[in-house]
Amino acid sequence: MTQARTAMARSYLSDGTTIRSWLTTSDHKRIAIMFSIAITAFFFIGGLAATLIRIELATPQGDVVSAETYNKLFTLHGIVMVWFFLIPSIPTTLGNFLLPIMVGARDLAFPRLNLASLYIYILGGIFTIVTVIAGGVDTGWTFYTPYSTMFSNSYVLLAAAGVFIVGFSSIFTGLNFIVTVHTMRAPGMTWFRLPLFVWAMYSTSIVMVLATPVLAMTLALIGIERIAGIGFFDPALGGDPVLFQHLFWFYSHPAVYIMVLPAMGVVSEIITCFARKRIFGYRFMVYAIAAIAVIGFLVWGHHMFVAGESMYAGLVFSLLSFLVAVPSAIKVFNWTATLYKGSISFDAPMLYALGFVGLFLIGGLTGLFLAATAVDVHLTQTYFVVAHFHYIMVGGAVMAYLGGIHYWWPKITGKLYREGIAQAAAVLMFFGFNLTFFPQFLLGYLGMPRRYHEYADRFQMLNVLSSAGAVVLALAYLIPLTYFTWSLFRGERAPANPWRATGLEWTIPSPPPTHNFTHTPQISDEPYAYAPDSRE
Amino acid sequence: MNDQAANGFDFSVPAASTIAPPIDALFYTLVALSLAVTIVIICCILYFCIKYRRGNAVDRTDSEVKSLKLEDTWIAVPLVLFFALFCWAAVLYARIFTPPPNTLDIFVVGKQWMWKVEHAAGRQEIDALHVPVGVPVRLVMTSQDVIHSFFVPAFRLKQDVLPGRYTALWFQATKPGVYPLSCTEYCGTDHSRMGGAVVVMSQEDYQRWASEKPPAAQEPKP
Repeated sequence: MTQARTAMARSYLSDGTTIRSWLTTSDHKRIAIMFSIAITAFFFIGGLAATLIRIELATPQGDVVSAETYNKLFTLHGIVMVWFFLIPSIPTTLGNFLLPIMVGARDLAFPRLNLASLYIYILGGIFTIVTVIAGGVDTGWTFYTPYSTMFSNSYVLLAAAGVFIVGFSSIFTGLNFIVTVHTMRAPGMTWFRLPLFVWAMYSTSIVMVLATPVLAMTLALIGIERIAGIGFFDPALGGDPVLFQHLFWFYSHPAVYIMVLPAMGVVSEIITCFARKRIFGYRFMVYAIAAIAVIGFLVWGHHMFVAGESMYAGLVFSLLSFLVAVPSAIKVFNWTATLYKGSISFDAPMLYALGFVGLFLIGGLTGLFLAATAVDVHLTQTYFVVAHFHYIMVGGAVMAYLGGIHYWWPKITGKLYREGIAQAAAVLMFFGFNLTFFPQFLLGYLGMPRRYHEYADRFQMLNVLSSAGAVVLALAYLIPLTYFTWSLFRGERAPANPWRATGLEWTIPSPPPTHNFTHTPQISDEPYAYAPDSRE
Repeated sequence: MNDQAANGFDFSVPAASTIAPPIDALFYTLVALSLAVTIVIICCILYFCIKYRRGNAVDRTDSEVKSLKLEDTWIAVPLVLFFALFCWAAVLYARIFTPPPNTLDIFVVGKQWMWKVEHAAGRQEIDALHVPVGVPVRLVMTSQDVIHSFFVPAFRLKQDVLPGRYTALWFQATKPGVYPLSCTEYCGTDHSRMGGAVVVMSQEDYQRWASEKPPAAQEPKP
């Protein structure tokens, strides 16, 4: 049992041990723990679907599952991974746990709204699981009309309802973060003394609050068209199917930044700590985060260069898409420059952070291919796109999420994990990831369309490589699950600051007491006050 | 298809339209650029990681670099480069959108899960498109049900095919041959089977083919 061993205060983990004390808590740290359990469960559900997809694609024939089942599998994989893992991943776990502590507050601004966010997430999750049990949905996670409204014979409404509901969880969490950052910063914690993780959470929250309602409305219109036959999107009813795509991507492109901005925040914390350096160009990093959040709202049409939008619309969206790549490039350059004259150690969190930079770099550069209109005409809707967004979302967001979990694990649980196996898992994950997704770039250029149950024989070699990589990747994801579980029960007790990191969260005990701080902290310096010791 | 293709080892895709080589040129420029950037960044990271690894006694004085000049440089260089790439792509994109006058028009209807093609001379075909080489062809396309997308990798072209309106796609084939055709907008159960072949023929062969009476049975799937 984790009895509070410090004389200061009881840890949040020992402050009430009944199930009821957890389910009715308003402690941001406990809510973060419950969120992390829920999203981990969904990650493995989505991962199971991905595994079945890669098994099917090991051979050109559709011989493992039927075409209907295959279509339902990639739809489930997309819905679960996007809305039930990636979007909530860093904000609801690390964000929930750390944001109040990082700004020097006792909790979020609205603790009960935070708990409501969890229960709404779970309700949305139940809808999704019921959808699968009832027989699944086969529209793809993008719900393109008029297929989703008038043609699909699967459980579209149930699935859309789940996504509709979980959106409110995003909005609640985003609202909470915005108000907390505005009103609850400790004395001396000025805007430009905020850790970049907080800036990332803040920008992400603004995107969540502004974009998610558009998704909710769009899904509601799907429901109305499907139930009542009122034409919004089906031309047979007087609607416009391209209108749906505009509305959907108006949310879903910013959603990419909901996934990757928090990852950038995590990586900035880790690289500074393990290089023992201040971040290079702090203000530029802040402006880059803000620029990505703003310009990210203006690029949705790059999903539609061949969808029937006008040439001029295509050109404007192309230009803006190139523009949004500039702040991302700045961030990569600044992370690299941060390493200069550092005192670098390669603990597991750092390996994940460096892996993130490499994979995000490739994901970003291949994004340029897709922003280049004429090249996109050839590459869009092929495996090139699948590879590109997996480099950003899995290579980027998931690597950073896992890096963050490793980095803050001692703080959150009060326990240490075994460093050696964690480093091995990080390296294995990097190789497994590249083996899975790099061949898909080639497949896309060669012309293999995405969402194909069967494919031409000439694509088999690359698909076999990709499936082999998926085996490695699946294994690499299971390893942390085992040593983290081991750490919970058998791990050594963690000191307050095992990484000698700066930041308010490292000034309080591990695990933190219920009210975080015994007295309100005073902040008098910029973040990342690291200095490399020349003898190190 | 050769034996290599059958074994799944074929890593090339033919370029058989007038737009394909210029699109490939831009594509390979992007590949070269990406490789260069990746190599430079990865080398910097590796160099710093090795030289400044903890425990290595090297000079770490003046580690607090604050360089506006450096920041400005790596904002300006990508901006200029990206604008150039945008313009290059835009010129080609405009070409894709602008058919020349006097195209040979062929009508295409997509439906779950087949392509129906009707030629000006009246001949119809399914899951196949016969076109003459060296002649600008414009496909006028619509869908009978959901959204499909007409994709010919060898031409480096695709265009979504929508219900309730017409979309167009023009190209000029440069090499006779048989090229795969796929549907690339997810359209339901048999989406992955919705495809066929584009058959590029000499102009005389096409004239003869188009005016022939179609065989009584439907054309077999190639």
